[in-house]
Amino acid sequence: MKSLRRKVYSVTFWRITSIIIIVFIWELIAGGLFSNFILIDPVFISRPTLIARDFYDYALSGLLIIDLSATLSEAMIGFASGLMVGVGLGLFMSHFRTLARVVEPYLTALTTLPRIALAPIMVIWFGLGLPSKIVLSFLSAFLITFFNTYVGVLSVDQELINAIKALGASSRQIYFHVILPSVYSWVFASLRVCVGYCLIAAVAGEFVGATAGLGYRMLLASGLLRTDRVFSCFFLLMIVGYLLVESFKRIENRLLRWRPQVIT
Amino acid sequence: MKRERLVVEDLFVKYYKGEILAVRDLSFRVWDKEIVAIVGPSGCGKSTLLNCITKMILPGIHAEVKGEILIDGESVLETTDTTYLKKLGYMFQRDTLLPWKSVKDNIMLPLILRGMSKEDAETIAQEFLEMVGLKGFEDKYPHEISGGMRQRAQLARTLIYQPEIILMDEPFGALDAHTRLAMQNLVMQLWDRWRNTLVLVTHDLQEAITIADRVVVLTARPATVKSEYHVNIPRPRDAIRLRNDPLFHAIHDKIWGDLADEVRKQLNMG
Repeated sequence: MKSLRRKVYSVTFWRITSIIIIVFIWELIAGGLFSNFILIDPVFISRPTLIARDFYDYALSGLLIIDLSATLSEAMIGFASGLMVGVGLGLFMSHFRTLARVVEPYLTALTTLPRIALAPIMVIWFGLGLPSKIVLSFLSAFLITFFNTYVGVLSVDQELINAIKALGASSRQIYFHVILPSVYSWVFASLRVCVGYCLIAAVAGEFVGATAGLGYRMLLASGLLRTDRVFSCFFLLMIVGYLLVESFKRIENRLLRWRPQVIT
Repeated sequence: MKRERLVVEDLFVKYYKGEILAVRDLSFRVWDKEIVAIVGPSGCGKSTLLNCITKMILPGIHAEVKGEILIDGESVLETTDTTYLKKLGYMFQRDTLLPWKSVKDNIMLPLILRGMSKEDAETIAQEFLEMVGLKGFEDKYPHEISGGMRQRAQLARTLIYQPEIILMDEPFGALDAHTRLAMQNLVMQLWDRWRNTLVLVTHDLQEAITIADRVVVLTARPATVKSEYHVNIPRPRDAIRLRNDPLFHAIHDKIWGDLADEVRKQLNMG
């Protein structure tokens, strides 16, 4: 027990230490410590201190909160609506197998297409504002959950259905006690992947054309060679993505705690 | 005179898939409150029989079915009315607890399906949990408990709605030898309490003799009745003690002669 705890402490210790070392080396080679020692021009890689200062300015100017809320709302509105429509349509389609087989190749084609390829046309259709990005992340979430729902219905364990039938369940009861829970387990297991894709869709959409958002700000800064601002946005995105994926991992584990834990 | 609960008469089952003749000229009957074990070599068609009774095999859809199956005098094969299923309990070999429900929720499910309120169902479930020795495990999920415990939970789930006729298909087939003896004792205790009619399908002759009043030996495929034996070992029986009871061994040797021939035939069939 004690040695396990020590191990955890040492992991935490090295995580922090390694970050400090990386930041230190970065600062050093970009000329932040000795002005006559520059290995790589800070125009290309900026410098931790410059990034920190820019981050402060960025936050203080009020732009940060505008960009962050734009990107987040694009991703999350798309995610939530995609999830609902995906589950709904997936369940609906599972009742109409023939129709499902007719549209299946279209949906498969849409899924295999890099969804970012839709960004230019979405900007033309829905403009530079939030809607075009919401539609993009909606499509990401929708396609994933739709397929998971549909496959979930098809892969319900027939023996469980037989067992519940033998216990006296009506078809409605079979639906609510066996089929839906089984579908939800497929959908819940894809939440984390889904939210990641939605964030990608939002940022990619902003690259193509936007008026606000972290991706938009990043592209703007890159055009002006403002590497510090590019990195500010980059780190912000990284933190947001990490927090989102981690919290959805928790939600997943909570919703699927009846399953043997898989280590991810 | 005792009432006939289950009658199987000249049953004939031929699967459409592969044209396999699974059962032919199969006849036997089960009296009220009786425990009948149906033994036969693995793959001989025992499960086919149960699947016909519970309508998991539909005549004309999955297989060609002839003959007659009566439950309390009512024909099962022709009817589309499945209300007779309500008095049947069916215990599977494979664990069919719903993985997303806790042990307690699984056990009380049949009551919920019958429209009982959650509070009432919980009270009864608690009673059955204790009866099968799962007290303290009610909030666990099936994957968190052992195989033996899962079969206990399945047993409780089957018994909780008090079916008059219980069909068991190799219920302890997946369990280790010792756990299996404990389960056999549990089944006998619970039977002693309610005296349901019990039909146990198994390939394990020792299990059959331990539990049953009567053993029906089936032939290799296509299954038909080879012989029937009464097990005149007095109750209450103890599965563990029976293992060195001379009467138990005498009966076992007598039946094994019949069964061994059929096992050999079935094995040669591949």
